[in-house]
Amino acid sequence: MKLLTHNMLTSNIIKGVTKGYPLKIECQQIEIVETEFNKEFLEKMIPKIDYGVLCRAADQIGHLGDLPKVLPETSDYNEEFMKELHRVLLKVEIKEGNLVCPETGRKFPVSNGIPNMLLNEEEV
Amino acid sequence: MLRKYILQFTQDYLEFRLPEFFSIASSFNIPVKIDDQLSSKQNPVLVVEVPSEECLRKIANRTVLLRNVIEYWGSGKTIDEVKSEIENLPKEITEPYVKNEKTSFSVKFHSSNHNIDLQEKVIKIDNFLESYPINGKVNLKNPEKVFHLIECYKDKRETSIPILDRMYFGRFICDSDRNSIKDFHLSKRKVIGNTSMDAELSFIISNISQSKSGGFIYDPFVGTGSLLVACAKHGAFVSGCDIDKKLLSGRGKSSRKGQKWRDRDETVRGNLKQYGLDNRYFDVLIADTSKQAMWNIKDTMFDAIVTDPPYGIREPTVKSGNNETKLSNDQTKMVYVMTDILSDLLLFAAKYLHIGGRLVFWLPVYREEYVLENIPENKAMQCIFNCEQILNSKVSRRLLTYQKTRAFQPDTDNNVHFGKNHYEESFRDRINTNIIGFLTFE
Repeated sequence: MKLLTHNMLTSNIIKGVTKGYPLKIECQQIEIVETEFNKEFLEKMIPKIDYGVLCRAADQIGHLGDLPKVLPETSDYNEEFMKELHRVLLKVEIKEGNLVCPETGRKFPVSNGIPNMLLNEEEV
Repeated sequence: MLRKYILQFTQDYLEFRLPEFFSIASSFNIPVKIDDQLSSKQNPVLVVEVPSEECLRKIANRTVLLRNVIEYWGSGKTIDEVKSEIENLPKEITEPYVKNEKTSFSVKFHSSNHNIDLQEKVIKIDNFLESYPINGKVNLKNPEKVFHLIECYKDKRETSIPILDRMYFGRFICDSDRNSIKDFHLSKRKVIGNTSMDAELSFIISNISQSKSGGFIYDPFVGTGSLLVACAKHGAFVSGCDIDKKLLSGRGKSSRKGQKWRDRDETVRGNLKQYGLDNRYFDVLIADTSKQAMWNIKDTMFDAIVTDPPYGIREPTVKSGNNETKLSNDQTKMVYVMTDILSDLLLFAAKYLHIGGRLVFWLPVYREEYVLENIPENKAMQCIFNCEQILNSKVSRRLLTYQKTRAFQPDTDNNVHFGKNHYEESFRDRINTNIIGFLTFE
């Protein structure tokens, strides 16, 4: 699971949960995967993501690297920034671990890179 | 000046040809004008005007329903009419190709709506060359220039004897991307499920969805990811979700003949990897598409949504919930009614597609009952293509394409309207007897 996906997921499908965002990450295994670098895609994504959540998540799992904690001005999107953003958004992959609901502590397992967001009967 | 070209299409998927071609053209911002007078109404031959040959090469390089592109030189009811049109062309178009004695050439003959045997074809080519000689040596195997002579006949159902509608002559420009279908055939696919979409249709759907480099595409009923393979081949980043945990994790029974269990790498990623496309794999999730609240998306996220939803025709349709019977594992599944699937799909698209983005999916219909009002409506989405693929005399499926026309407005766009809903009752029961066995992949 990539950090961009983490950026888009909440746990407010659970009964009683109001916000469920951002999900906490419990990480057992991380892999760096080869993903195509596409500047156009990254530029399109920047306004769509919660940049603060992205940085905190990356920091928490120890892969923030040189990504600036505050989003630079559009004019300062240099090559270095784009490469770091590409790495954090699309290359760092949580292979094994859990996503944890911030309100209830319910764990959504991530196995072989695939998060399982299904709930049990009594949770819906 | 706009130049004229002849497009020769395949005989398959009649209703899909123009949506595919024009979707690609518009995604590259290439204006294409159809010449109605020169095009043959009853044949897969279209004459179009485009700004340049390069533009057409770009489109042809993506389409699978086109066979080839021919530079238009002339057409008419007789050889003389064709010849006089060719002779009126600017010399720089024809002369470099017909006057040069040193280069080899061949003339290919095609007919449509009427079978012509080899001997007769040779006579027709000879007759043409007698009237319009081309310099150079004939070389059928490896010619340096190729010309096409095409005869289009009137529809057989309308006439008892073959009647020539129009003949065309021109210079071969390029083939289409049709050959890739072979390389992506399901029989060679790493991972298949019971409902994997065949390569040709996957390419068509990907093209209609306008997938391209830098795009982001989502399949909410991803299965083995056969649609995503095509979208990734066309350059997009691909993602999806499915409720079937076993399928996504490469576990459970295999759908392939002679193989009992799936391998652990039989995943969507594994499928992409087979074609060297795993660097465009984004993520898949085990999740219930009816639970849209799991998404925390600011405004919009995807360029296209492509899917073959499980209407319970070949696979039982499930969503997690608390009615119905407990099936297996830890999770309860309930019947996911077709109306709900359609509503969820349109709402998801209305919310999360970028403006101008497309939603492309299959809708199975009972042909006798189908009316245009069955097509679901949402105020932010406009249905732009509705192409029928007939499966048998009773049942067909329609590939619906919607384009998002404006930003989602919660007050007005939060519902999906059915002019006439014939999916309320168990569609599966009615359609089952007519379709089972027809779509199963062997």
